[in-house]
Amino acid sequence: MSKAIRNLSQAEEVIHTLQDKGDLIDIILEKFLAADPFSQENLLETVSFACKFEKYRLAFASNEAFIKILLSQVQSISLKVTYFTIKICRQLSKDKPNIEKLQGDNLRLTEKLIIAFKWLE
Amino acid sequence: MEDSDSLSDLEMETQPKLSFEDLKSQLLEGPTRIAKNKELFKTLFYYCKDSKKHARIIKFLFWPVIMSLVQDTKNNKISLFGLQAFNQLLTYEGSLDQVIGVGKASKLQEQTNMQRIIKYFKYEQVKEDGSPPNEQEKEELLEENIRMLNEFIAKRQNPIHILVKKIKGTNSFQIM
Repeated sequence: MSKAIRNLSQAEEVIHTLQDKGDLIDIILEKFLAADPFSQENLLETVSFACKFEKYRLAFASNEAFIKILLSQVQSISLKVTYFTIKICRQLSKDKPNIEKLQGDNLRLTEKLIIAFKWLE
Repeated sequence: MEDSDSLSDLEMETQPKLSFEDLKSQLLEGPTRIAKNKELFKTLFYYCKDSKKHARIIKFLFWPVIMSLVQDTKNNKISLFGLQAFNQLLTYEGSLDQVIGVGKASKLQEQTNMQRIIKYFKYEQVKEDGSPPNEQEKEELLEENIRMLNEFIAKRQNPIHILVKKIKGTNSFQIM
């Protein structure tokens, strides 16, 4: 199913449908951690499609539970999951206010990115 | 379909015995029979791989057959097989807009059944006091009925909403 959502999300109106009631964030919060790596890749790629829009980048960055899950994926068993995690961090960081939210109190974004780059070596 | 069936069982090595038109007729006659007949499903899956058939599959079989399979709540395997067919349609870039558009209320209005329903409403509805509507009131009723039908369809018939509901409700990593 995550594959179908990922494929459909290439259409802009599907992204808006998914974000209308916060369904995508809900799925990440409720299902992501228990999903298999392949489904995780599809879900993160869908998030990445949604990150093309500033209002959705703000919605993701403002959701602390979402950010915690996202940043926990820098050392995933799937390199694609790690890749999409970094990509989404880069997309969210396009807007300055989001960087503060990603960093949190203890420069966690910097720390996580260092871990991710080591992981990918 | 049994739990022991695997997705690789869907592949056909040779051309199916049923032509696409015969398959379409059989499925439209009895959309539910595919859940019990793996050969029919294999044939459908075979034609889903042919992008030239996509427009007809999406127009005639997407909602009555493929989305019915996806939404099956009793057997995960049936749902999973439906998803395979769904995803197969989405592998062809040109089919994406068709899949998104096929359930839209404005498109359904063009279909004969929908026109019949609207016509039925037009002539059967009466005013609150029981008297029949005059011509202008009939037109107003018709517009109101179309609006209500559109709202109803848009709410219920949206593949994205169906997929989201399915993901939220499943504990099967295969379905995810």
